[in-house]
Amino acid sequence: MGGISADKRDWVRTMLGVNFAVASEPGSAGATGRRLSPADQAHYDDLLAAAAPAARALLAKGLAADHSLAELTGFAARIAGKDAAWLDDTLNLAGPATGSGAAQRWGEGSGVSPRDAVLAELDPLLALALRDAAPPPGRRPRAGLAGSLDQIAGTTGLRYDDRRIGTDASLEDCITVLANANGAPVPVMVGTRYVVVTGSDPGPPRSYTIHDPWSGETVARSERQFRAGALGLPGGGDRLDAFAAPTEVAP
Amino acid sequence: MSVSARATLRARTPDIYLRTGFCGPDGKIRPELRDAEAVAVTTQMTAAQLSPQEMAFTWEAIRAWLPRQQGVAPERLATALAAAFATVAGMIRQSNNQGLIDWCRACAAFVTTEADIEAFVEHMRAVLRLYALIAALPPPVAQPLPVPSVPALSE
Repeated sequence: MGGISADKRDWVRTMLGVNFAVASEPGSAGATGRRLSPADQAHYDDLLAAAAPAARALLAKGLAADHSLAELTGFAARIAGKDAAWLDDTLNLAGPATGSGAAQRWGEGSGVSPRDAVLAELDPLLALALRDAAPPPGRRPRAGLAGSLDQIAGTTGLRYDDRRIGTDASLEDCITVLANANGAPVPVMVGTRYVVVTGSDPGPPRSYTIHDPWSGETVARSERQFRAGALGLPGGGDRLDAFAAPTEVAP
Repeated sequence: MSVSARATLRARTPDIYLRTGFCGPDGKIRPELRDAEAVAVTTQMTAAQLSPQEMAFTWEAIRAWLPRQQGVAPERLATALAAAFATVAGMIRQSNNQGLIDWCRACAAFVTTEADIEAFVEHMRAVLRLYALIAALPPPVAQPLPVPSVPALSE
């Protein structure tokens, strides 16, 4: 995709019912859905007239995103003289892709949540503000599975804490977590691998759904089987050795 | 539930598991859409080679676009889906994953009410959480090879 230009304007025009090619022409702010006073319309037209073609669509997007003329004026000054490549690199917070297929990721390590990346796509002023924001103070990454799952907390909305049964938690602690997970998936280690408890049925007797992503199989097991260390998973494994306890995090 | 093998889960598409709709008699999302059926969808998305991050972008984009749409529920969701796919394609600079598009549209075909839209968003969140988590799990630890017993040397 080459820069901000035509193709992005096209999708916005098609999907929003806003024709940004028109909205970025003087006298046509109303095409964005905003009604401007004559003075503001004149101000907006001046901004458009002074902007490069690639920047005009961004100003129209900013107007559609309900920014004030003062905010748009500041934004126009910030992007003045920048070419389409700079605008695309700076204002697309998803960033370049790494990997392919199911392993593909964008903007690895940028610290921007999927939610912010999407909202920034719809609002170039927000994108620039997020780019400007100081990165959060560096925190030492946690070890173990919890550390890996911290990397996707912005996606899952969950933070996990590692617990090893017999060391820093009991089997009953694990069962309590499973019974109160409220729909959050709980990774549990059985033998040499993690499987995921995806839900529970209060019964009686209470039972849990276990998905083994390595074998691709899903089974239900009763609480009694958990307590007895008799899970008998098709992919092997009878008892729980560790688990990661989930906590909802604020979006 | 007895053992469900990967092939069974992959065959469990929305046209099968949504025949009874998104919501139960209480008007709330059917619990299995957050559990067993979400597991089935993760198996299908794995087969479709979907990036968990693309699914996260798409879920967030749907949530961003839904409040901007007007009309009856099926139209509102269909328009929001189209806008979300376009938004994400622009972000990732490539075509949307076809498996994800097909699944979303298959789900949308069963939406008739606003409660169904809420249930669809919740169902997709359950799929997303599980899919992202599974992708982040470490691979199984290799079992140590058994140490062969060495027969004692005879003099």
